[in-house]
Amino acid sequence: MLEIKNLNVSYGKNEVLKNINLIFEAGMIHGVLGVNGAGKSTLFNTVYGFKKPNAGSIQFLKRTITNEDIGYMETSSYFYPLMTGFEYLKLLGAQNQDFDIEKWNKLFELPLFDYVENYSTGMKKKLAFIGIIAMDRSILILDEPFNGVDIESNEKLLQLLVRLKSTNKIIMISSHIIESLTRICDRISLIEHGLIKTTFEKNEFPILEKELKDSIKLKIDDVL
Amino acid sequence: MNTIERFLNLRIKQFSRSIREIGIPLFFILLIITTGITFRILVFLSEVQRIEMGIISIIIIGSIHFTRDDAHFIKSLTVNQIFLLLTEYSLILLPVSLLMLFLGKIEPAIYWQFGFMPVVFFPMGNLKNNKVAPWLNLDRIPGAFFEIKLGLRKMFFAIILIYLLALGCSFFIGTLILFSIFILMLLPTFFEYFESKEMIVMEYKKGNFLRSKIFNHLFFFQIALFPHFLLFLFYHSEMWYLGLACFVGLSLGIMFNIVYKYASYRPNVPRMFGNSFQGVFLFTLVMPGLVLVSIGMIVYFWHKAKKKLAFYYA
Repeated sequence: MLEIKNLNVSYGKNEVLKNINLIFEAGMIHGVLGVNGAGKSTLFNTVYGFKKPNAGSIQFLKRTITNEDIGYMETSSYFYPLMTGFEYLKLLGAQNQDFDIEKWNKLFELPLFDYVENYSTGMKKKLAFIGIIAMDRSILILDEPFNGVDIESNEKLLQLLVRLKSTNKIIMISSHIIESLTRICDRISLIEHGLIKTTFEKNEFPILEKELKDSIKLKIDDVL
Repeated sequence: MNTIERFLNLRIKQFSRSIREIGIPLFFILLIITTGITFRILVFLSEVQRIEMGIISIIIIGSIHFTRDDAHFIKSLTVNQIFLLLTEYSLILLPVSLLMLFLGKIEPAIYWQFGFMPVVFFPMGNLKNNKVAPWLNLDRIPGAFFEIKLGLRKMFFAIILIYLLALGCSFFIGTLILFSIFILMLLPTFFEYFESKEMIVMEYKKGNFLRSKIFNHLFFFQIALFPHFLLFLFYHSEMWYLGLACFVGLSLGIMFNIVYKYASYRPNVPRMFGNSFQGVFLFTLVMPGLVLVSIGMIVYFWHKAKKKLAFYYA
């Protein structure tokens, strides 16, 4: 279990996350939903350790979390120039002897011996995804994994995440495509202005969708 | 092979691939031609100002370390980061150390090889995270100097501070060299963002886009740096060739950053990703025997940039 307690994070005087309290259980997919700038990526960056919190704690299995526990797929992953997809996966999977690159690539059919800089946005996403699988960590954090990915691969990602969940991993995911989240998540937290507004259980997802649609309708009504 | 070995192996491959991009025959011809010229300067430096070899080593490695884009990636490898960086940077500096040892310059070689070490204890990529200062009014700088405005907004205090410090210390012989290396390190920060499509189209239609961009920026930078060259000649006129080397080095740096920027241009992408070629360029510019390789890189990326721009806007 991963537990976030009273987490506060700020950039200078700008408080980005305010008193966040969340629990992520193994074998569950936890969605994080919010508009741009709501604090989703900051939350993920803080859990991973890229950003230091001002207050609060993040505990995994009752000890302080380290980035060795986590496979983190950022919104835009970094790839070295003049590096092939195969080299990237070899590097990330260096500590996981059981990882079979060819087998995993059968799913996405990436040109692994081409330079990554020649890949499309969607192909880079898929490569980054296989990369975090190669690392074989207990917690997977995926920030906007469906951006730029084609329909077929989108479906593959969704099905794969459900399979990975059954291997007792903790999966945290953010997306702007609410249908993708409601389909695979067991719980979705709505984040607004750095605060967790509500956490919805699976049976409450229709309420979440209705709330979102209603609030957007209100905003449009205000303008038009 | 463990993660660190794999990582270093990949970096070496990247370097050899970048040489292959230039062309191996051209690389060797340039290497032979330029060895004498740059090595002369290096030997001179190692004889006159030994401690400065350590400072130059810090500046070169600092320029790589503090502008790295791959800080998050390296952290995700979950290896001993300090050890990995120490090994990677040591490999970068090793060829020059070996050359100096071959010439019997043991002390400068030690300064050069180990001087950089404190750098690895600082966080990577710090200069990349500098926020833009919107309060800085640079309206008088024309829009065509988009890069200058952006660079100044990002690093105004650092640039002003070092600029004045270098002026004040110009009576030291090594100041101009260190200051030039500092500016070379900063140049990628000036040129990392692409202007909007509309701005490019407007300038491109006037013709000679790349040439005028290079000329304008060379003019701007050399005017801004002129007091430094003047004071160097005032205090060390007998070393005029060092001043000339700095002038040429800076001009090459400006040219490279412009052509490289447009060689990696893509519409709708706000900024460049990856700075390995900039690192390779700086490396070839300061390493003995490789100056003409850096010129080769400029020519190569010039053609690539021209093709890219013509593809989108011709």
